[in-house]
Amino acid sequence: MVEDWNIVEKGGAFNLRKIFKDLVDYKDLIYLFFKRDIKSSYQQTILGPLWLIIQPVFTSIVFTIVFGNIAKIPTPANISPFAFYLLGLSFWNYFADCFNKISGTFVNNSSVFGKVYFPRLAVPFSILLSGIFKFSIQFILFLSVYVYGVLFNGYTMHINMTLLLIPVYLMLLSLFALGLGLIVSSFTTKYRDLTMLVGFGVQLLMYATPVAYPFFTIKYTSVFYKLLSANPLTGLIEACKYGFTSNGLFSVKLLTVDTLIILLVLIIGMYIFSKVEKKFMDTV
Amino acid sequence: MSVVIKAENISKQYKLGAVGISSLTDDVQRLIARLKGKEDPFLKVGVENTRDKVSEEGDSKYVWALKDINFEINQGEVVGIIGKNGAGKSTLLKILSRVTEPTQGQLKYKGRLASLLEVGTGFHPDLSGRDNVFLNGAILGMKKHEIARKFDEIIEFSGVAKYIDTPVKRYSSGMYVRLAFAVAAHLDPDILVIDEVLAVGDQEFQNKCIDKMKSVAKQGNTVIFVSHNLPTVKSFCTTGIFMKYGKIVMQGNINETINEYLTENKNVAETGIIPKDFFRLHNTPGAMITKVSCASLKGEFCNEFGFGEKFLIELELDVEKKINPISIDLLIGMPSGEQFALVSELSREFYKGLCEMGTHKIEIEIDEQILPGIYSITAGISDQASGINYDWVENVFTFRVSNVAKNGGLDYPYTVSHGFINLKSNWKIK
Repeated sequence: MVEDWNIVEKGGAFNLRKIFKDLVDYKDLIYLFFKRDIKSSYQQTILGPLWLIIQPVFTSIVFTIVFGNIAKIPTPANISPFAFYLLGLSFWNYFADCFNKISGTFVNNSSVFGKVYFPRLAVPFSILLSGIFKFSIQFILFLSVYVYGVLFNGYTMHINMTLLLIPVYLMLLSLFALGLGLIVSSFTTKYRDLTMLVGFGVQLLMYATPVAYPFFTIKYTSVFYKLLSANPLTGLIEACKYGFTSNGLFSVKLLTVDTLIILLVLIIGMYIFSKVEKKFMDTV
Repeated sequence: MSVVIKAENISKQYKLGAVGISSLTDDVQRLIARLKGKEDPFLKVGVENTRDKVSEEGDSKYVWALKDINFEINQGEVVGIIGKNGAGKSTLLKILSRVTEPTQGQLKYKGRLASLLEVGTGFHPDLSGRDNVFLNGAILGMKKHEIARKFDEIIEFSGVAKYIDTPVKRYSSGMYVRLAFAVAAHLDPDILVIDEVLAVGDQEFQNKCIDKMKSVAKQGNTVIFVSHNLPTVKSFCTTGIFMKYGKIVMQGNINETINEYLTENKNVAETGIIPKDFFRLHNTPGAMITKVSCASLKGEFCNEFGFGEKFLIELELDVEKKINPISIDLLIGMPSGEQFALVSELSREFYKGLCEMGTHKIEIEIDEQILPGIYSITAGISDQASGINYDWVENVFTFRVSNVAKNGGLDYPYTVSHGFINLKSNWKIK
């Protein structure tokens, strides 16, 4: 054999290229994990994947009542409030769902990880794939409600070219969920405290992101404005809404800063993850 | 022959106790040391992996499960790793299979390495057998098209073709294991690392597995095998590594290695006398088993019996102080660990004589037709009221039952053992 030695030792260099090469080698596994998640999620349920639609529909109804009717927070005039909430929720749910699940990578898979080696990143990537699948269904639901509103309820269609950037937004949301999730999952192998934090933290984060209200309802001078601007999700979610309503915040500057923050978080996440994956079995 | 695996000074340190504030302070100290560019301060502490006497020398929170392991394995070798419980075999396997990293040193290997520390890793109960074959295969490192190509072979080997589209949670445990093993058997890696997964399934399936493993080895692949089942190791492996207290005592020809290992346990195997520092699973001061052995009805030491022959199990225990009533359990099982028979005196009256300080000898007559095979005895003493174990020694004495009867009884007529015991029964034609 003339092959090179594979070396197993403490630490080892952080080599992004090798990480991706390993992942490509195991792409079948990523796909099979994805298939398993989808297939097993709705075993022994009567409504099956319909639950994917029921959840955002009911949340949007609650939002319509609480934010629209009780708090009377205005939504853009060219879209029904219901469609507006669905739009924000479909992207938010994608992010939150992926982040939550990726955070549990080590703890939830410890029995498998403890018995056999494969690139641990295969699990987070398969979670992103399942996330995209669920997002597609919820996004189609939004599109149907949106188009229905335009055709039958007299709303006008104000879309613009930034719609073409939606795949980029999705990509950035994925990378952010991945980066944050990797960091949390790495820390929870030894200290479980973060699990508690993430559980309700994600719920709170939704209110610090313009999901259920337009960003412009917040006064330019208020503290919350600055706080929300610092949240990389604000620029992304607002940009998604802008594409469909031409109403909202679309700032190239903010998006660039968001992208940089997200990439930084991602690199940190992958670095910590690559350190932890080799020894987490000893502490988990 | 070329070297395909090299272990260079591999050590592995574990922390004892639970994760909490104390481990956080250790982590902080470690981080500070690293920022100052110094070595991890906890690598210098840590005691030898001698679990049974840890109380004597170790107040350290750290223990070396492996210390300075060095070996080389050539292509095509079938290596058996043997040693008592707690010798560091499993830790070594975990490092070999890349589940965890060594604390110091490095492991090098060439080619594709697959490990089987358990059968059916990643099986999802809700998915069908078919889906699980693909999933499990991919987890073990196979590509989808490889699995698809070998799919029919895998199903045939497992013998569960009829149920392949049923969720595996509806499988019997035997079917589950068969299917899982079938996937693993068709892995075809350059290096295969196997834990005692063969200790599952019925005898027939076990033989099938071992045959399959042998054929894998014949194709020039390297196999590393960890087991307590010495006969299997002996028939299957070409070289052996004998481990004790986290170190390698010996590496070499399999027969020599096994002999070396047996000499270690020779006293126990030949006389049944169990030294005080023997590895005990539970060890509460008060009472201790000092001898477990078998004897013929005449009372002569013996570890080979004819089929259906009555024999004695002799026990000796040291009671160190006056204790509450105890009960004693003997288990008879396979050397690999599965137990199939309980030998116990259920009457509590019997134990009244054993509460006093001193050495007690007990003789138990066994009158059963145990099927031919090699079996070992596990013994334990526990408190009648609380159930607390005073002592528990596993697989301490090994004996053999042959298929030929002694004293004019009937021979065992089959070549395979169908179970473990021929139950006492009365047959009548009505």
